[in-house]
Amino acid sequence: MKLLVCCAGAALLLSVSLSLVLSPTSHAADNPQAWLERMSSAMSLMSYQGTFIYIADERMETMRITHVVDEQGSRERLVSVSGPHREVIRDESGLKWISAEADSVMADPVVSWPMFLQQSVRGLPGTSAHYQFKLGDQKRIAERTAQRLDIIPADQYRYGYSLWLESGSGLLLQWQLNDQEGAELAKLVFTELKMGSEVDLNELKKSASTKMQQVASGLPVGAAKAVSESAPWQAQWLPPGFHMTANRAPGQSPENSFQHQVYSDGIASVSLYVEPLQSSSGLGLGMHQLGTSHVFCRKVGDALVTVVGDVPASTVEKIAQSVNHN
Amino acid sequence: MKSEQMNTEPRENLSSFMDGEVDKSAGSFLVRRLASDQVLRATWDRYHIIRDCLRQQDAHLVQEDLCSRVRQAIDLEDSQSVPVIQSRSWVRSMAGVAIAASVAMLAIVAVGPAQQGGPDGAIEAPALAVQAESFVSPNMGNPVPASQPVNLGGQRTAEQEKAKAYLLRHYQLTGDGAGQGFVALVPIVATGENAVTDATPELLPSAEEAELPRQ
Repeated sequence: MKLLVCCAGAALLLSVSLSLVLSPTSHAADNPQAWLERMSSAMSLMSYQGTFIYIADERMETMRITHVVDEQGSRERLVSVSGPHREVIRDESGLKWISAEADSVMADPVVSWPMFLQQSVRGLPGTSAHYQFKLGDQKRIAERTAQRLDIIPADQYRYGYSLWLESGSGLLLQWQLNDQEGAELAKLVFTELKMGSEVDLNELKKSASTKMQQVASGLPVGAAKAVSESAPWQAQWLPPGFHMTANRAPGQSPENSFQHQVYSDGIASVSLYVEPLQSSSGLGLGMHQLGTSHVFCRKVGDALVTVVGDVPASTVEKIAQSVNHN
Repeated sequence: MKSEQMNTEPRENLSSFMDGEVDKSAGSFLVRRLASDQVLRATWDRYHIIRDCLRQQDAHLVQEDLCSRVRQAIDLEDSQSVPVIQSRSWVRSMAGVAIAASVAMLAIVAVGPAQQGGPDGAIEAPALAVQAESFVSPNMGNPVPASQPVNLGGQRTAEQEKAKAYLLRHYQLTGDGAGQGFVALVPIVATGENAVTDATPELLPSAEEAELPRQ
C-alpha cells in the first residue's frame, strides 16, 4: 500500500513538473514578464528549425533557421531561401558569414553567443519605466497557437515590439518592430516550425562554395573588461534607462585599437566604438542604416566615433554627438 | 459553347503560330490581328512569358515590365509609322511585332543574369540592366529591383565588411543576449546587399562645432 502511495506521489510530482515546463501556469498566462522569461529560456535552450519571412522597406525575404542545443553545445545556421545566397553559421569554431553578393566568406573566431533569435531577460526588471508590457489576443501562426505580447516604448528614443509567442513553449513565432506611434517598421513571421527531435541536423552543414574570398572580421579579439565608468571616451548623453553593460579597452596592437562600450536599457542596446582615424576604413561619416539598426560616424580630433544600435536614427546621432574625451 | 470555341480558337492559333506550325497566310492574318487586338496581344505576351519561364526560371521576374515594353514599342511604332499604301500594312505590323520582340529580348537578357544572385551574375550584368525597372512579384508582393548592383567595387565591399564587423562585435559584447532586440543579426542577413545605406552623405559637424546635448 505504501509502495502504491509512493508511486502515485512520484507520478503526480512528475506530471506537475512537466506541466510547469510545457505549459504556462495561470500566473504566467496573464503576466507579460513571465511570458518573456519563457520565451528567453525556449529560444536559448530548445532546438528548433523553421522557415520565416522577413519584411522591411517593402521587401520580403524568406529565410530558414536551424538552432540546435545538444551535447556539442549551441549551434545555429541562418540561410536565405529567396534572393541572393546569404548564409551565417555559428558553432564551436566561431562564425562564418557567407555572402554571394560580396563573393566573400567572413570568418570570426570570437563570436560564441547566439546571433539570431535571442533575448535575455537579465535586464528586464529595470525596463518597466521605459516600456509598457501588454498581453493581447491569441492567433494561429505556423499551425500553432500564439500569444501576443506588446512592448510599447515610453519615449521616442527606442523602438517598440509586438511579439507572438508559441503558447506551449514560449518560442518566438512572430516579431514586429514598431516606432513610438506603433507603426510597423519590420516584421518576421514563421511559416513553418519544427522543435526538438523533429529538427534535421543535416541543415547545420554549410552549403555555399568555398571558392569565395576569405575575409577576417578585422576587429579585436580580446575579452570584454569589467564595466568601468572611467573609460577615457564616454557618451555624455544617453536615453533614460540606458546604462553601460560592457566595456572593452583598446589593446596595444593596431587591430586592437578600438575602445568599445555597450549601453542597454535591457531590451535595446547601442555600441560606442572609438578608434584612431587612420585605422578606420570603410563606413564614411554620417548616418548609415544596417537593416533595422542605425550607425552614426563622426570625427572627433584624430578619433573616429561610431555609435551602432537597434534604435531610431535620432538616438544614435544624439549619443554620438555627445561623446567626448574625459 | 460556340462562343467558347470562338474565344479559344485564336489562342490555339496563336500557340501554333509561336511554335511555327501555321502556314504563311494564317501567320499574316495573326500578325494583323495582333496589331489591332489588345486582348490577343496580351495573350501573345503571356504566352511568351510562359515559354520563357519554362526555358529560364528567372524570366518571370520581368513579366510586367516586359508586357509594358512590348505594348509601348508597338504603340510607338504605330504613332511614328504613317501607312503610305494599304497593301504594305502587314509590313508595318510585322515591324512593330519585331521591334516589340527585340525590346522583350533586351529586357530578358538584361535582367536575367542580375537576378541569378550568384557572384558571376552580379559582376557580369551589363549596362543594359539599368533599362529594367522594378517589378512586383505576384507571389511575394515585394518590389524586386531589377537592376541589381553590377559591381560591388572596393569601397562598397569595405563598407559591407566594416558594417558587419561593427554589428558582430556589438552583439558579441551584449553577452547572453540582453539588448539584442529579440532578432539580433537577422535583419542584417535578411537585407543582404541592401543592408548598408547611407542616410547622410555630406560631412557632419565635428564635436567642437556641434552643440553637445547634456543629460
